[in-house]
Amino acid sequence: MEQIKWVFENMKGSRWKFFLGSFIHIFINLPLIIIAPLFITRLLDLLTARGDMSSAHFLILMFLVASLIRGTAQYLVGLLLDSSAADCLVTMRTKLYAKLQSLASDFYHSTRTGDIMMRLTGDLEAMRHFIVWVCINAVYAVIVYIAGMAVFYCTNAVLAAILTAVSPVTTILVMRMRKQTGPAYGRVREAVSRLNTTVQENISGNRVVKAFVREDYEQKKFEERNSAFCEASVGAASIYAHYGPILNALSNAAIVLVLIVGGILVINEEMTVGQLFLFFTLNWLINDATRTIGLVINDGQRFFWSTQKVMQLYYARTDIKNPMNPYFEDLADGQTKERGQVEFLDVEFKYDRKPVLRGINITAQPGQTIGIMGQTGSGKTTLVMLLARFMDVTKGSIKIDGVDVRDYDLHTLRGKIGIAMQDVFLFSNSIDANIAYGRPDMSEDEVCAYAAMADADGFVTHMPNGYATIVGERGVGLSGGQKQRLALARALAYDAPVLVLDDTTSAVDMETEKYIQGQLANRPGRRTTFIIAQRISSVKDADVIYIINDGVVTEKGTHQQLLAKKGYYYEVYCLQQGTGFENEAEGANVYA
Amino acid sequence: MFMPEETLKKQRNKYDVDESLESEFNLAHLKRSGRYIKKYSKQLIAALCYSVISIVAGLVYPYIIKIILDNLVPQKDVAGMLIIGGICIILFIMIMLADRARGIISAKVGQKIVSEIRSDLFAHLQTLPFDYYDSRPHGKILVRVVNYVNAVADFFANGLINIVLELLSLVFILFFMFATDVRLTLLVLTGIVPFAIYVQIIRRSQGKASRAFSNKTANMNAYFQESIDGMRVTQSFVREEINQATAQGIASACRSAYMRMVALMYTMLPSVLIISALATSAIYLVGVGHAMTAGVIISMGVYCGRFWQPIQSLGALSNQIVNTASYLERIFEVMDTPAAISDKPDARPLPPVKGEVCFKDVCFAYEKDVPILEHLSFTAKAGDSIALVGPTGAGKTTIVNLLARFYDIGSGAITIDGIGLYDVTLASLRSQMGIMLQDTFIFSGTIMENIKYGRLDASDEEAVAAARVVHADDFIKLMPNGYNTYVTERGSSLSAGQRQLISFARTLLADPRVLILDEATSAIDTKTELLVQQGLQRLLKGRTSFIIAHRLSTIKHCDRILYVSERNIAEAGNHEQLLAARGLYYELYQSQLAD
Ligand SMILES: Nc1ncnc2c1ncn2[C@@H]1O[C@H](COP(=O)(O)OP(=O)(O)OP(=O)(O)O)[C@@H](O)[C@H]1O
Ligand SMILES: Nc1ncnc2c1ncn2[C@@H]1O[C@H](COP(=O)(O)OP(=O)(O)OP(=O)(O)O)[C@@H](O)[C@H]1O
Ligand SMILES: [Mg+2]
Ligand SMILES: [Mg+2]
Repeated sequence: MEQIKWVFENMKGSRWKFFLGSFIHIFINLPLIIIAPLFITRLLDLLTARGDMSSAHFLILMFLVASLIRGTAQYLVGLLLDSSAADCLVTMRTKLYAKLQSLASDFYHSTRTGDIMMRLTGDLEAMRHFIVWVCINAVYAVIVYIAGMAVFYCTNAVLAAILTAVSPVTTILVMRMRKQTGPAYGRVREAVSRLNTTVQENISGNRVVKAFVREDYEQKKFEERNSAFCEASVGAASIYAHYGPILNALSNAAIVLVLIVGGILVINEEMTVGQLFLFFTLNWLINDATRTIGLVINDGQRFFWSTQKVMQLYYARTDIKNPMNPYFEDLADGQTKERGQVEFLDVEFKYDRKPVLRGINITAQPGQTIGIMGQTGSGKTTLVMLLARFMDVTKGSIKIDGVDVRDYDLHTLRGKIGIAMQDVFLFSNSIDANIAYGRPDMSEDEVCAYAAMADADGFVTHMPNGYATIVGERGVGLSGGQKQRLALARALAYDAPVLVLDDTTSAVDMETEKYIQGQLANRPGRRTTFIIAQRISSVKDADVIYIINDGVVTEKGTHQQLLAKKGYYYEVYCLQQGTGFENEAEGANVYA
Repeated sequence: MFMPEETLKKQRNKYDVDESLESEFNLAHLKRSGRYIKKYSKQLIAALCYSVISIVAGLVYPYIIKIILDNLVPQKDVAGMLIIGGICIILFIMIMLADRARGIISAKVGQKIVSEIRSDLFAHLQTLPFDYYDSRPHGKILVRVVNYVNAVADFFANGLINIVLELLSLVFILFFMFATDVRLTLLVLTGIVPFAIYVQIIRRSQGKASRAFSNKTANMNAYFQESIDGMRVTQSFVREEINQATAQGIASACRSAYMRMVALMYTMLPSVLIISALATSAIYLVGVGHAMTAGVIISMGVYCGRFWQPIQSLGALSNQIVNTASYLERIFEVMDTPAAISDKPDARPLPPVKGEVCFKDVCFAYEKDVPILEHLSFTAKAGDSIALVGPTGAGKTTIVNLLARFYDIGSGAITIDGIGLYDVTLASLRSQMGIMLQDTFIFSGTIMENIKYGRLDASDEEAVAAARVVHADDFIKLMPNGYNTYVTERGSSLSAGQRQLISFARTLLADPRVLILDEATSAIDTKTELLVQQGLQRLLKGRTSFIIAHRLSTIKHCDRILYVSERNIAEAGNHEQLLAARGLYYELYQSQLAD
């Protein structure tokens, strides 16, 4: 019920269409279905009786008019209902999309994309079907059932009671069906979402599939999901195929019972044949109502199940929320204020219970460049995610310009940080749209200027379509280094006081890297920059270099200081210089 | 924003561009699905028979009841009533069983057929080259395999049987009508003419509308899918509002397309109603006017009503037919896309190779007019390790792509052990290569499954050994469930370096003759990289390997270094030779040394 209420709330603005449509259907369409043929019946009576044919033309005309009205009504009902449902779907999709945009990593880590997509598509279709079909038919079935029963009770209470007597059985059956339909449909949903995920992974991983010649394996994996889905669907459909005919048989059997008992009553002259005949002719009402109720329950369950999933998404919680009294930066005094000061104070972070970062203290004064190096998986990217508040620290705090990131308005906070992420993600859109992603109102010249700063202008202008070239999904169609440079250009174009470059030049050759570094250094205005890298050349000019290993800062200092320290940094330096590193046996003579 | 639309060359498809179809909309696609239907013809016919049983039994029952009312009750024959009541109950049970059987068969057949279609579609997708996947949003491929195929299920489950049933009853009724009065029947049949014209007119626009809707659905799927994938980027660039507007626009476009489609669809029933009402009226008018016998007019009137009933149902079905055809059209379009890169008819399997690779005068372009490689030639001796270096975008990855035949070259030749790449089967070629792609891709599943992707029949120990070589074992052991830790889509719960190491282990486990490492260690710290290389030295012995890297420390020990630049190989030699030559490589090397 709560689902219905919820959907109803979301139909704001188009509820009138829904009600008008339902009204026309119930009060014009349905009566006409009964009334229109009556004119013909009357005409037939006249013909049979060979009576006065003068009203024949009138009857025919009435029949035509009734049919015309009915046709129009039918058309209107369809349009009104479908249009209200379509409005509702747009509202839903828009709201769900907004919700998705507000959810953070914790949600996306625990939810399959296929599952989200299912909610945005299939589940909403079940909602549409509910609005367009289930609702009016539920009303229809109830009205018809009650009306039929009322007529029966007025005619003969005993017989009507017999008809009523089967209703507990019907109810039990319907209940049992309901109980099975819900979970069965749940299984279908689950199977679809798995199938979806498998196919989607196969598509996005198509390069790996081909490289390892795993087409057969993929096909097998797919077949499993495919047949699981097939079975689940058949299972769900079979429930109605099983109960539907039983329900029909039951209501038919009741009528036979009625006729036999009624026949006896007539024989005993407690009832007229005419009354009994009425039971027979109105029988279809009860039959139809029962059949419709079966379908309504079946499809209704689907609706409930789907809507529940949609609601789950709609009400999904996320840990990363805007604070109660968010801090918006005041632009007026923002100019005088120091901008881009970043402090990590005793930061600790755990994934579930797995510690990733401990006791991290990093301070970056406005305009400083901070280099960060460290082992694979030591928590460098995690630092960035904490800074932009994709996750929250478990202990300690991170401050930007003296304000805790958790106190900022999320948009204000992220507006202060331009990130070039380690996993380059480009949208399948034109190159200029990608560069201007953070500032869509940017002029063409600016786009070119930022591209040039990231050394991307050269290769972009060489493409046949230049900046209008559409890159493929995730940047397909570009080389590794080209993708990175576009992501870099995008981060630069964001022009935020804090710039974070997470391994942004790993696929770029040294000369290009040098060029980019020069461009960054000569950029007017100073920005606090974090450079995460594995190459000495990327970080050596930083004001302070931090070495993070196993989630703690193990070394800190300038290039010279760290070299003098002869620790991790020095080792890496030697290895990259190719001078060898002879202090440790494992490093010796590798290249000999 | 930079160039006017019309000057642009043909581009990749994206979320706001409809996928055009070359062909006119037609129903021939339905015929094509006959292949799938045929296999289940027995079941379908059985379902049809069950339906007929149920219908016929349903027709008998009112007659029986009439007997009760008209004969038995007046005759006060209680025993007879009980008997007839018993017969009725048997009839109902028959109907029930028949309906149930039909329902279950229909559901099964419908789902089986679509699952076979889906399976074929998927299988064909596996044969399509990179190019296919690169030229459109993945959401648009996905929507065909999952959503479109689902959408046609009901047609195969019920639509087909219902069409036959309705046609049968139509024939049946026509027979009786002709038997009753030929002239009046012909009169009724004239009603068919406007109806046929109407159907013909509307089908065109319906086809178009239905196509438009499937296009908009695909667009929406593509956009939502990509939005979810790139959500972190969107959030970090505070792009939510603009994307929200786009999403709303796309959802609204979908809505309009849908409404256009159903608006046409909903004209069907009223049209049938009105045309049939006119036809019925005509009969009575003519009948009354020509003073025909009441019996004839009455029975014609009844038949006329009955005659339009199946037509009305067929009208509704024709909506379904059109929609189904427009989905099938897309599905078959994929199946008809030629597998551009496939085995030649006389291709033979590549025998186990020693690994001598030779590029002769190779020219290649991804897109016409934009040559990437021109007249490129080099030879790699069996067992050599070859490094490819050069500026970004020079074509290093491209060379590797050509070697694995992910793309076909424009001209020239590539041979392995002297055997032309194009004379052997793709599977035999690629299975002798271990390729670590520049973009790592991790499947959702356990880490073990991901490593074993390289060689499915490998034992756990072998997989662990491969992980040890690349020093992935260290961090995997620390994970909550070790090798059985479940990683999410694209390995998003791992660090970038960890993903690389796992995919590295996967490549090594494949135990290939030719090993290709495209930036295999770009995200890995130098110390770990060193350890990896030590382990690798052993494995590289006797195998030809191609190593692409920007960090020169990674490659300087290679037997030969090829410097790729300007669409060709600019320099070749080993580290010392190239340094001595004081050319491009030397410059690159110098730039890497800290000043
Ligand atoms: N979503 C997650 N759930 C659980 N653990 C995670 C998740 N994301 C990252 N980790 C773990 O956190 C640790 C730190 O990861 P992070 O990405 O910060 O490393 P990194 O220093 O950036 O490494 P790299 O140099 O490889 O990029 C890793 O051990 C990783 O496995
Ligand atoms: N699928 C594609 N379609 C069109 N052009 C492509 C495609 N893939 C790559 N290119 C273009 O081909 C050129 C060579 O790309 P390639 O990936 O081979 O470079 P690379 O040497 O590997 O560079 P990097 O070091 O940056 O990885 C680039 O200019 C790139 O834009
Ligand atoms: Mg990282
Ligand atoms: Mg490359």
